[in-house]
Amino acid sequence: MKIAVTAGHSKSLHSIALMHTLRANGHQVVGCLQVKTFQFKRLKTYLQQYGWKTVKAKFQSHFLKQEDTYLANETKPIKSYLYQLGIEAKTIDFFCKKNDLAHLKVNSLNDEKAINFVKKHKIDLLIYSGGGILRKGIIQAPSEGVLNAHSGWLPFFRGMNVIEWSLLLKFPPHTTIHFIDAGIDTGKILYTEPIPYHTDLYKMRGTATVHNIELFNKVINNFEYYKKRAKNQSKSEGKQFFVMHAKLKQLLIDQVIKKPDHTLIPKKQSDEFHA
Amino acid sequence: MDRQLNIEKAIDFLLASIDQKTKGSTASYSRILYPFKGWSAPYPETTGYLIATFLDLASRTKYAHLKTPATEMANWICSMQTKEGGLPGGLYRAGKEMEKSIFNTAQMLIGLVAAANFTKENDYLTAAHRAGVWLMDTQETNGTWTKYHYHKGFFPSYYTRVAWPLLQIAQLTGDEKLEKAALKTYDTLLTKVQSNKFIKDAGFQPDSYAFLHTIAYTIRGFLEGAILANRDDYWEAGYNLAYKLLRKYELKKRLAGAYYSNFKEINWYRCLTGEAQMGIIWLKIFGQTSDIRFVNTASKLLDELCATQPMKNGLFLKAGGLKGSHPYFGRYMAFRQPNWATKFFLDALLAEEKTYHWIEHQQLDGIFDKSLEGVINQRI
Repeated sequence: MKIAVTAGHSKSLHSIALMHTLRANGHQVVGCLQVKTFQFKRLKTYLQQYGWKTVKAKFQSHFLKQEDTYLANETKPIKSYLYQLGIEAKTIDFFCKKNDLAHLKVNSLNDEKAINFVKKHKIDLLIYSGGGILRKGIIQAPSEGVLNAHSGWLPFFRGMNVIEWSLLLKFPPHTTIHFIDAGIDTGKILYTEPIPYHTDLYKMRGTATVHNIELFNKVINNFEYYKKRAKNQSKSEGKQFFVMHAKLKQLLIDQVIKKPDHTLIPKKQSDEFHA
Repeated sequence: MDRQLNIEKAIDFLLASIDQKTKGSTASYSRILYPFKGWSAPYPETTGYLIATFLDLASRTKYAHLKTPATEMANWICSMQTKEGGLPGGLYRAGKEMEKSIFNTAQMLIGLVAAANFTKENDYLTAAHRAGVWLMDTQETNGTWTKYHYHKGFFPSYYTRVAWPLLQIAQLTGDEKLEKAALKTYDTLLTKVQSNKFIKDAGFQPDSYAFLHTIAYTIRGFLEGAILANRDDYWEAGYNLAYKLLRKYELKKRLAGAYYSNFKEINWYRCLTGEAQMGIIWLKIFGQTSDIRFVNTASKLLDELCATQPMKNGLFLKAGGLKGSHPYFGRYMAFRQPNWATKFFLDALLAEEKTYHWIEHQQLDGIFDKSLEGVINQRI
């Protein structure tokens, strides 16, 4: 099975780790479809979605490698994961060149160029690892479809900031591996399990990044098995969440995460498929 | 997120809007339209529902002094009531006969009901009941009205906000005839709900766009009616459109100033009045469903509204008052700071404050989403 991975920017450590681990597990990774990093339209979308403070912190943490932003904890788990795996590459470009993989930079994953890349390389499975909302053309291009790791318990928690929303509603946050379809996190579910709990919200978000790489590998290692058992979602089963307001996030931190006697550690870290 | 100063400034603006002769609140502030005085004439309609806001505040020790202007406003409303029970439309003009208005009577009814509940004085209850009876007497058998409209011959769907106060006074007095009349109006308006969730004729004119302000009127009327009459169909009509607008706001990061019935937007301006009303609506939905997403979006929208509230007097703008539109020359109440924009803004801020107070008090347990009941045993 020929696999390609997407990347949201040139320094996506998640995409690098994903390509590395898939290759290490014996899968045929053909290359990476990367969205160009600096684009005015993207910046505008991010600013609208997250606000200036978060975008600034993300930039400082991801690109300037500053360790003193409140988001620094979010990138620590993936950095140490790469270190443990002995991955030296820090850019997609470097990783692809070193491993002789195809690498295409596009303005959008929905561009004709991106679709042609998938067709030309006869990609069976595209693994989504960032790069914006996908449209029908690219979703239908790989013969098996596009896989996503969603940091929320599907079908219940769809959309944005679902780790935070799960915790606020006192549910164990999950990673769910599912196919991407035209809706928001509404495609067939292949596997789901709780994310290892952490008492720091940002570290937990970072842990989720590593967790979803591991689950991608778990599912792809036994792809036919999980595909056969994949479960359809009904739209009415879940809810779409949006970016969490700062006031609610503060409430979450004060009343749930920092609570000394918090009861949020899942009773059992179940490996069971219970979607 | 401290909104206290926003609240204080809004109260100051509304107190300043009170006309000293009549004790009614003037419709709007505009240095462009009223260069000398700044304020327009008193406006019975919006004075009516401002009573409810002031009395809500007056129930807190800190704002107990607002009871006086609130009851003075209620007295002014009573003084204008015709012997049939109807109340006037338009701006107040001393000594001039004013045409009665269905919609405006209902808005003043909201204030009279609030005054009756707060003071327990019979005069307000009697005046409110008479207003309700007049609404019923002028109503057609199918629940519509043919006279005393804002736009001649047009029965808009925001008349849900006529049915709501009618239902309020019906339940307060136990008058079943009034209740029947209110439900008739709701049932007729329910037929205007389209398959795309929009509610047809939500604007000031037939077959045209609707400002977010009147769309919000329509939604609120349905939701309040649903709560009072325990009717799922009214709830669904209001909820579906409110959720659709929530989604639009979250995805586009703004609400349009007006919408056509196919959701085509007029988005070169924001209707701040309508946005404040949507804030109230979303918080109300949370109150009924515990769906925390509605609080989340309401807070984001209120952040943006707070950012438009002038905190100091300027050349054109008075401190504390919300503009009708943003930019100032937007189509809804252009160049004005209407008293009702600030009233709804204040209502929204107070509702938000109460909501967070409740959530914190409940240690988040109260926000358990009823729709997730199917997986309750997985909760930790």
